[in-house]
Amino acid sequence: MEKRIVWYQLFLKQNIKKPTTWIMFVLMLGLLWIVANIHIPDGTNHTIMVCYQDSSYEKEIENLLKNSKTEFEFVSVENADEVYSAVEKGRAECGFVLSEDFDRQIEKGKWKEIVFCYTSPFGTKTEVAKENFFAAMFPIYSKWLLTTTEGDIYKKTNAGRMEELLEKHDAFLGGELMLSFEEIRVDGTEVVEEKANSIYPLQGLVELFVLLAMLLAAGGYGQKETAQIESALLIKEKIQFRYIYLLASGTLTAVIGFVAILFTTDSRGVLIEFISILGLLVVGAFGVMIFSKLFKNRLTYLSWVATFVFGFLLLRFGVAGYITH
Amino acid sequence: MMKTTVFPKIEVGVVVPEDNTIVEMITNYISSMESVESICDFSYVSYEDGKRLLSEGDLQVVVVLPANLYEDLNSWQSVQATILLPKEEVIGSRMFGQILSSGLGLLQVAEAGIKSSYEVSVDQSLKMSRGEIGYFLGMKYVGQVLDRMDTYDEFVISPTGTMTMVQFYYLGLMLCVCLIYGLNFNYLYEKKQRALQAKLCIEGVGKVQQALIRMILMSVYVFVLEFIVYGIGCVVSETLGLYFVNFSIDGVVGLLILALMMGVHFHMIYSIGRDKNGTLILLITSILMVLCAGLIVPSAYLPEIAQFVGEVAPLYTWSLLAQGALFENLAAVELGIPLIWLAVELVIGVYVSWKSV
Repeated sequence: MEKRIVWYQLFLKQNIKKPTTWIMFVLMLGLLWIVANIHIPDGTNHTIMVCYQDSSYEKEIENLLKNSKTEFEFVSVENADEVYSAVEKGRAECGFVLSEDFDRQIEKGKWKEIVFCYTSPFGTKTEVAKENFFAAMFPIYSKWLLTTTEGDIYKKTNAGRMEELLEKHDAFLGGELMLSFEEIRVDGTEVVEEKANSIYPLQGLVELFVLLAMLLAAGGYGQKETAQIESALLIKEKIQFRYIYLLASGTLTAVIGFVAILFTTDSRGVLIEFISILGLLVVGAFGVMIFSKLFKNRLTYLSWVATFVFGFLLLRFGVAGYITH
Repeated sequence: MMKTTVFPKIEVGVVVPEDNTIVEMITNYISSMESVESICDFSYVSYEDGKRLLSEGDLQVVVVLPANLYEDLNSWQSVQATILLPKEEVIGSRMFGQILSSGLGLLQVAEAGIKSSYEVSVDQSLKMSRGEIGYFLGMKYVGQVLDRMDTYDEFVISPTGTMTMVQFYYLGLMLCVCLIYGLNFNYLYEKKQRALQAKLCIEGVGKVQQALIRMILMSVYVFVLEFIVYGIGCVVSETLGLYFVNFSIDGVVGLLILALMMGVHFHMIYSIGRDKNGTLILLITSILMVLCAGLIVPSAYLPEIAQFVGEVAPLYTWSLLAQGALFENLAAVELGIPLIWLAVELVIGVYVSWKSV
């Protein structure tokens, strides 16, 4: 047993001295940072960007949105480019930009295409947001309607009557609803929010690099000296030697990856992460040992390693779920 | 992707009073609204069935409409309907609640306008009867509500630009396959090839010429692979009716240029890396390029630094070239930057080969 521990320590020291080990670390940490900062449209995203283009109705619409029982968070921005950018980058579910002549069109009673709606193909709540936003604009239409139909209803115009009309209108708006809903909660099956992909890309990336380190080690990188030692051993010791060699080749990557994961928000906890990375090392080294023996030709082996890498990237990133989305 | 949540449609059960065709008509209309259709499916159930299905989780919301809903609303009387919800709601049921809230808000505005006009019209000289005011304004409000979606001019911002998702992933697949294939060319740079290279030098085929021959050889292999993937894509596109790619001379020429660029790239990497290090460098740079160039996740969703790295790397120019050749118009593709990349990698690859021992 002591001999195995010595082998393991020596292999670890050997790996630390290899430049490729450090290149892999830097690459892994860089990719971890990139993946941790990827922001794609999220089903739980409730942010809606709004650009009012200095409309005089801005305050009225904003107040109506705030006072309504809305599930969305309407964020006001200065210009349309910010709305576009937020929707494009998936930071907002969708965005509304009032047209530059919004006020003029409202005064003329023209409501066609006066609000630009920016959405993405992944927006699932855009239609609901449109209903919410229109409901906030509808009182503006109502006041315009009452003002402009005075001549259709009354024989003479009267400024005092119009003022009274609009006051009563606002009073009724704050009053009781004609149609209301009574909510009743029912006991039943616990509702669990479905996740499209119960995957952990950061953990997957670390797993990929650990396996890659072992696969490349098995492919003969830096193995010149160890091959000579291995050839002098008996079969049983040879297998153990190779296994420990692969275990050591993945250890440093696993340790750095484990520590990096703990600093992210997607860590599943120290214990779970430790057990999963340890399990990967132990089982992975065994798997790589068998896999590497399947190929006599190093080029064929490397091609399959590359195929594995890209296939692993696609699967671990849950591309299938992304496509169906 | 890490926190992506599927937004499945919810099932809404509606309990409609018996033999009340008007309410059923209104419910059918509401269920066909785009906003409603985007988040839920309606089904008609009895109260008991609705409650049972809700508790079993087969329905997420149950709406119970009272028997005299239409009559009461029509005669300006307050009405209360009932909505049954589970103790823990899902996003879909909260969005349904949002639509309900927005709809009630529209109703309240119309009610406010009509009621205020009705009250103010007392003792006024009118062009129509007081009863007709409600109908007159009501029609205006209904018309505006029915046309409410015309208020919006919608723009869909696709992270994949002008490509559809199918085209995006087809292109990504083609480029990834070609990149993986490049790892097979390691044998051209193995140590045992050096004896052959020395012999060729003696025969008059210099190092630069050998480098060019390797580049052409790799380009030919890559082009054949691209052509196969292109052909498969065209066949699948046609037979499955997806129409994401079709065969054209532009496509073939574009792929030829792309193959040449990839061949030069592989040579540069292998010349710098030499033998097994070249394979490792190619693998590492390929992984980095694939992620940063936005082949797996569209670059709009990547952090800005990754976007910058992706745009600087050759894979980005390859994808633009391939996109133009396969899906758009090759003549419109900006060939300046791809050709600069080609020239730079060619010079580096040839220089390193020439300086090698």
